[in-house]
Amino acid sequence: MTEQIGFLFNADRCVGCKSCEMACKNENSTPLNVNWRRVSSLKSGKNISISCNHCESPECFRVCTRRAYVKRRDGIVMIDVNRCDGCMNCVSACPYNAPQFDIEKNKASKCTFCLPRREAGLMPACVSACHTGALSTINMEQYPNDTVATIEGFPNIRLTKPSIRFYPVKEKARYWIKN
Amino acid sequence: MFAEEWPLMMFTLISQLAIGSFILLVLVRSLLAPKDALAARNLTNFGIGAVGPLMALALIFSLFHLGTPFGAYRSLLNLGSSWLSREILTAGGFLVLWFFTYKAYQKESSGNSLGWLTSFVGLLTILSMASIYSNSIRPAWSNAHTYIAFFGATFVLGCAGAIALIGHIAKGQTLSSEVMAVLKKVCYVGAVALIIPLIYLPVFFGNLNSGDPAAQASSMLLTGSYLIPLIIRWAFSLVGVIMLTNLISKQSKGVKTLPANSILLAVALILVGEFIGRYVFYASAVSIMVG
Repeated sequence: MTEQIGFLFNADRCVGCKSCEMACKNENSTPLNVNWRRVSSLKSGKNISISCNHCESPECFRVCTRRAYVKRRDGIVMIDVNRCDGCMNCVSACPYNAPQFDIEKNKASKCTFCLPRREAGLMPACVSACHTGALSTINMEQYPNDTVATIEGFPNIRLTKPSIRFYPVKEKARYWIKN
Repeated sequence: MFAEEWPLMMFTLISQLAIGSFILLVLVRSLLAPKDALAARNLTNFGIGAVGPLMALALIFSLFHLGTPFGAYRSLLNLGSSWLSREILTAGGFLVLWFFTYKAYQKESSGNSLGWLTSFVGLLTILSMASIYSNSIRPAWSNAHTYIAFFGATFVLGCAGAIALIGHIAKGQTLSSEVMAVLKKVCYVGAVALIIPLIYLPVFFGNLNSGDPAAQASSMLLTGSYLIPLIIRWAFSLVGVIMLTNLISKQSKGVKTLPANSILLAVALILVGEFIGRYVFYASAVSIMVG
């Protein structure tokens, strides 16, 4: 592996507007029930935007019986939809819900890190759509020092080693309310 | 859950019934062969013949789980890391080996080594099946409980299946005391296979309760909305196995015939018990996913 590209997420900046979700849908023309990127709310009241994390040891890759998954030299995990026969093994194996099952085609599909855009030198659609700068891309070998591997509410990262870093969630400053 | 996953549920249950019955029938045959070779053949041949169609039925059920069933042939491409691939290979291998075993057993003088080889491949199928669930993101499954439950179910169902199949052939016959002694052993195998998972149950609950939020959610499901099904499952299975064991030991002292109706009732209780148990197994799994 020559590099590992990944996402960087700042939960304090995310306002839960779902622009990233919509941009992903527009860019990749995914069907109604397929969302490669999803925004969900955490217990702490923050939001989190999750797509495929292009894990270092992807579970989807391990469990797929058809070898439909490949991990590219730049770290991107891709699925060959022609090989998929819709057993949903990857769908239930991924802690991040990344492989999404298309009930019309009966096949799984997932985030490609916007490969065509990447080849044209552009950022993924979700990242360029994010207007608060909560979502960005990083090289996992040289991540910023002030970031952490996980935040509360994110599934256990030991299983797949996801290529995502977080800014630590700051304690909400309360000036008037005393606990 | 049930609507989507029922082919999977039926596949695991029927294949475990087929593999368990096969193993116990081979056991009966091996134990009886030195004493009464003719009875060994006559009593088990029908049952061993029935295992193949049962396993084929299970494999057909598993196809319905696929979104694109015609893509099933690609399922063997990732034996290197996918337990599902290994399961499909070993389940198919069991069916192929069953055919050769069945053919070999038709002959007068046939040893049991092929039968044991097939049984071994059958056990590997169960191992792969359990490993699929055990290596998952659902804490209720990624636990030794999955292995114990699956191997337990295999032998409990196998005990019920083997006795039902032998009972069908031996209807109205008076059996020798050697045959009855072997059948008693089969019942003991079933009883042990039922009791070990039952003993492990508190350990399993303890693990879940001390685990992460998804594990605790599973535990709450099991002790909340699935508590009644769980109790019914264990009551049915226990009553079924006790009935069967009691029946065989009573008959081995008495008239030495196998009363078809009582056996069928006990077997039905065991099957329903295992069915409910498997349903709860699938329904209680909570994933660690976000959102």
